[in-house]
Amino acid sequence: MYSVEEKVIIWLTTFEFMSYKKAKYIVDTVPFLDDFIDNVKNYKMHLSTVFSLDEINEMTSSSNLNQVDRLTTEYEKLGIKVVTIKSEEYSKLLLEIDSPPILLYCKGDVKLLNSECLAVVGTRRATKYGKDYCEKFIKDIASEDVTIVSGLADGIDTVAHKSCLDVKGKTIAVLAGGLLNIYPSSNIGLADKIIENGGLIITEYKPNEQALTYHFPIRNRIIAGLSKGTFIVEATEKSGSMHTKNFALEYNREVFALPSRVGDIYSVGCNKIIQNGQAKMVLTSKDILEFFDKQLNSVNKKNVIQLTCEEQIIYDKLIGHECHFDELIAHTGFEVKNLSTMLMRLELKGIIKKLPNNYYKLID
Amino acid sequence: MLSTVKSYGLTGIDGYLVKCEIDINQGLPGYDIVGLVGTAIKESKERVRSAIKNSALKYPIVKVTINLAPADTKKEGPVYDLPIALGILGATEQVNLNNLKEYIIFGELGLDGGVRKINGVLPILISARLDGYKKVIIPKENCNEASFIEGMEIYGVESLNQAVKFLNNEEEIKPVDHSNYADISRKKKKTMDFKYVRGQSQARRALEIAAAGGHNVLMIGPPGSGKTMLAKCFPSILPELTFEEALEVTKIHSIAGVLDSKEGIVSSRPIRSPHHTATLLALTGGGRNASPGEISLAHTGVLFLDEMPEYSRNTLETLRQPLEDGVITISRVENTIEYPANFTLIASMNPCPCGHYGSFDKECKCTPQAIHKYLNRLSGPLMDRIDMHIEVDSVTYDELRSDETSEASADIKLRVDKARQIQLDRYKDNGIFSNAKMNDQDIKKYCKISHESDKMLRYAFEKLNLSARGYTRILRVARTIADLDGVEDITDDHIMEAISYRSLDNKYWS
Repeated sequence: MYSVEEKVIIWLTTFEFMSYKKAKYIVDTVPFLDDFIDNVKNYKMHLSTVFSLDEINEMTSSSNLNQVDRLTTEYEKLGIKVVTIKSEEYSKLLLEIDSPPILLYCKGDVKLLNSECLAVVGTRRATKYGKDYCEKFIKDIASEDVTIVSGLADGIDTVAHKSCLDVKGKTIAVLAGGLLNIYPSSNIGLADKIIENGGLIITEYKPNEQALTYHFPIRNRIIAGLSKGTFIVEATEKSGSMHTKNFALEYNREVFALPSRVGDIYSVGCNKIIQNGQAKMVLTSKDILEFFDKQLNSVNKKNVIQLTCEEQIIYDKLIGHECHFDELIAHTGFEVKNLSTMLMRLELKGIIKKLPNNYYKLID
Repeated sequence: MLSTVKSYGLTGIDGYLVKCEIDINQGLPGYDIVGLVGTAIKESKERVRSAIKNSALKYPIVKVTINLAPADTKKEGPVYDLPIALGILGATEQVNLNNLKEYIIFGELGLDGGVRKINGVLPILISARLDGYKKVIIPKENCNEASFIEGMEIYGVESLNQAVKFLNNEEEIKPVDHSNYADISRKKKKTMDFKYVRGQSQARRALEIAAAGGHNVLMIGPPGSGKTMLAKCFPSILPELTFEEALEVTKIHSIAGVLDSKEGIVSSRPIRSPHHTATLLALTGGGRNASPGEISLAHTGVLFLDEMPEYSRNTLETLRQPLEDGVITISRVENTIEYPANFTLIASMNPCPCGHYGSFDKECKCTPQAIHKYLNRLSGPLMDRIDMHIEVDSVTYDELRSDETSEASADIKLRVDKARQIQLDRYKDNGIFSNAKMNDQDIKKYCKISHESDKMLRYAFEKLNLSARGYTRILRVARTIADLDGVEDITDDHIMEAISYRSLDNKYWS
């Protein structure tokens, strides 16, 4: 099921000395990878500019593809598919960047690699504001068949993946470690859900590799490279999200940013790149959807929900601002037990949302 | 010459007869005490000798052998000083032996011959009464506690001399007057009142339900939001202790030595709030003597665990069995003891280590992992035993300053009492007293809901992402809400309100 060319690339990565640069050198400069494995000796001169003699000897001495077959069947058992830079499934957009990964370990639907993608990145310590608007926008965008790419980290990444799953959209998570070492471990369940829902999890690291600190910025190039646009939700001035933005600009992709409160450390990054023109300010989900040539169809599907007289009173009180439970008691004069019941009903009807600390607000 | 004095010992909260046999032999002067006795009893030698000497009585210069029967039960505490001293005096014919036989005697002696109070008088007396004994001599200081026992002649003595004179019919002592429990329990008690709790209407309502149905409650809120104050107010709306309950609690408190000797009985529901550094044994009870722990001291009352995740995980997990069964069984090398531990658990916690998670005005500085770890200290099975979760939010300056007072505890208590009465009537054949203790069969029987309500509940589960084990919790709480309304059938409204006390399930623990 893997072509010889693909197998050779997988074979290359089995050597411990094979750094990204060395592998890339072979992939880029050897004209026919198919028979490279049998003719390593003939390439000796060519290889000696990058490889040491020992390394070339090692390659010659283990020049057969049996172990690659063994490896791939093992991967298959784990549900892992390897997509190499020469594979058909490989993302066309990712090929455009200057250092595309030689191969990607994938779990899930690999067709998504060539779908229209929007990268969503942001801080791990997202504020309520960031999470709320990320959820709102992503839900709109994902329901219009745009694949959401993110990094499965805490905070904004998690919100992006989750909201995408909520509307049954497609999402890709790009990891900084192996597929068997999902980081953070709290998102292992989320990763499973992504695959269940026809999403995809990819990484350029071998399944058993740990997510090391320096992997993350390298990983960010894949997030930016896969996507036509990158949406930054909340970011401090120096952060991984800003790296991703730099990659996106370098690759000539569009960058979007959510504006936020002045003085909030988690908004400085976003506000700044809007100010200096690097990013487009996002005020509604339309701003992003337009870029993808899509229209928001699902709006105004609002069902007409019948409210009782009392519920209407609560609804009116909540228009425009969130209210505390005690405030509602004071304004409406309802009894505590009745108000609890009514608020629960409204919540079940999907009209209001309970916030921490007994605040309630309308769902817009 | 031989004399025998009857006394009592304790295993757990039950007393057993201990016979102090004192034999006096000619021979080298000495004092031997046998019968598996603890250090405090061994040391009685010095106390007894000095007490007899300083009471102007004669200590015999002979060999004294003392046996505490049954000889195979470990005995602890200085309870037997007085019976041993009287036994020696009896054997040397300084005390009327015939009178001595009539009484159950216990008490600790001072070197001056004074009689000091001991722990565990009430359980001893209750057991003695059951065994058919009528006459008792106890330390004077324990009289208040003893006065609640009916049908016994109880004499309080202040000194060894007084006891001797009494037994020799040289001095009259009036038996202890019987005190009326109703008088004491009616006395105004100093508890916090809900009157002074500002705002927090939702939390107040939730605690009312918890009091009515005996439900365990977890309060989540930022620091300074008044969780502790709410918990302190909680006993003020609990139903009064009945006399039987009071005796049971007093027994435990008496054994643990924490009984207020002035009042003599625990007349209001206890609230125990062990600090979070409390060890497992402090909570469950145990130690060499297998003494009762905090959960037993909180029997019939409230166990308040402030900052619950700060307790060690081990300690918390041990609460699971008592929360289910209402008793704790302590096994030690020498004995296995069962203490009652039927309490309402009120726990409080912050939403995250810094306490500001989800707050509008203060930034939470905790990493997601830290929050996750913090919340995960409470295991699922433990959470499963907590029926209601409520969010308590910080009170604003304006609210604190406002003069209006809220509904007083006494008014809330009226409603609670009514709901409890309904439950007592309903469960009179089931061996339980409150909705919280319903088992699965009881729930099937008493928590019938209509087909529509069931459908709605199912919908709520899906929509709010509730965990399945919350189902029976919701039904129990809904039953209590219906009881507060005084209606037989559980309606949609009751279920809705009950669900609203579960919603933290999905917010913090999903």
